[in-house]
Amino acid sequence: MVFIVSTFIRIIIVIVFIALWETLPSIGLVNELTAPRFSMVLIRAGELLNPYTSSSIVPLGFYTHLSVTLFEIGVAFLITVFVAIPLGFLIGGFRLVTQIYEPLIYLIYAFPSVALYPLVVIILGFGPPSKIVFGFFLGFFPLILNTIAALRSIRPSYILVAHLFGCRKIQLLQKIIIPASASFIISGIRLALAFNIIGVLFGEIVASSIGLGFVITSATYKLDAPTEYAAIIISLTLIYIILESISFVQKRVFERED
Amino acid sequence: MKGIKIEKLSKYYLGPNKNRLTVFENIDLFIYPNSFTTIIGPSGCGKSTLLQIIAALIKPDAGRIIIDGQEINSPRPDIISMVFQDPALFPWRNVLQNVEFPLELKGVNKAERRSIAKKYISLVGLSGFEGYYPNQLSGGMQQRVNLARALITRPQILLMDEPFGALDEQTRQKMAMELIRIWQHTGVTILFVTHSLVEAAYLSDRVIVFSLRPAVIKAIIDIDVPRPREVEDPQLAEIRKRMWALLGAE
Repeated sequence: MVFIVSTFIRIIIVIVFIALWETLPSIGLVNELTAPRFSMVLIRAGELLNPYTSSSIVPLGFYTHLSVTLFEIGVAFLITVFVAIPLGFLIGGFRLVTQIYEPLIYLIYAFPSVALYPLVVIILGFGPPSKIVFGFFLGFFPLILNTIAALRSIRPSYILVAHLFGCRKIQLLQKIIIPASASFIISGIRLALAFNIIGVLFGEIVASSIGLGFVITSATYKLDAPTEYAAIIISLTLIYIILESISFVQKRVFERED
Repeated sequence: MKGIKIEKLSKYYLGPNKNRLTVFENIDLFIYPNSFTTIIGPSGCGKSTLLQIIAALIKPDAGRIIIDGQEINSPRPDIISMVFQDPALFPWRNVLQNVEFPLELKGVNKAERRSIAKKYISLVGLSGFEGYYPNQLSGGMQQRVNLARALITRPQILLMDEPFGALDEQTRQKMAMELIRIWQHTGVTILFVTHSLVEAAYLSDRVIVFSLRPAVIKAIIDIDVPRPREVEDPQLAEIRKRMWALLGAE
């Protein structure tokens, strides 16, 4: 019941927002040059997504940019997962190592990492590698910190029970540590992916010649507000779908716990 | 079934100022085979520590644990099992998977361990709940699963560290009755730790009263009231009074 009501209210909020977006520019309360009405943005989004019209709006066509961005996000995500989780296990698995490295990781995590991006571009150039590396950089810290926290959160009594029944080292990892920390780590993976996406899009927006971020920036430079908004809306939708699908899997797999 | 010989057992802890705190020193004790023995004593008297040393989960600083002529130095799931106050069931496994866990570690094949697990689940009165997950069970039911998991290795000795401490009074009494039934059915030697004098008197053949730090054995009380017992039995009430006096002197 609460769920139905909250969903209903959420839908109402979205409808009101869209209605305002549509009416405010058309009655002249908002400058249509910088904030085009919703229907125009929607039509432009349709044109961008239509393979026959999209190359007339952005060079190379929208799907080229989309696929480059997805590729960059995908590679950044894979590197993040395969580096941060094992490293997290290595660091989190030994109390002394945790004590040495965890404050360092937090220190770097707290650093405003966008300040490093120009350096990344200087080293790796304007192409996809700089976006991948920056996306990885942003995603790495939340995931490694979550992994360390996940290992620490395992109840000592689980380990005690395992020892009691003669659990060997490899069995301990396989039957206790991994399943006990999985839910927490998957939350970390979701967070990491969100940061991968932010890193890649930020990188493209600041300096690139291809990708969704480039579409947004180049539309801004051309004062083509509808394309800019349309690209942003498509990006948001994409991010929402990707992140929600991880949440969905997580809920299905771990619904019985806690 | 086997008894436990505790020989000159000592355990110390390092205190906050690096000073050595004695948990207990030179404890000598014999737990009779097939008996139901209970340890009572004030909080912090090292009862739980003693149980964990017997299970070889922690090492003593001196002395030995001998079972059937063998010194115990590492966990022996084939001989010793333990039930903690925290059921510590794995939330990602259902009842059946939790109970079969010790056999899984031993490498027993799936079909066999499933059928054994079902037997023990029925022994603790949980038939029909095999597919439930721990968070779907009440505290008492979780503790039953815990008991089944501890018994599935067919241990000679079952150590129980305040197993019913977190349960409400009614569930507690019911569990105590069930435990006696299971004990008589399996013939396992039980060493039980509790804060409840009612429980101690009702359950035990023998109660060992510990005093506070350094813990020494203050008294050993044999209870030869025949079973089945009634909680309200005047003889048990008399024993409770004695235990209370022994503890109250602290």
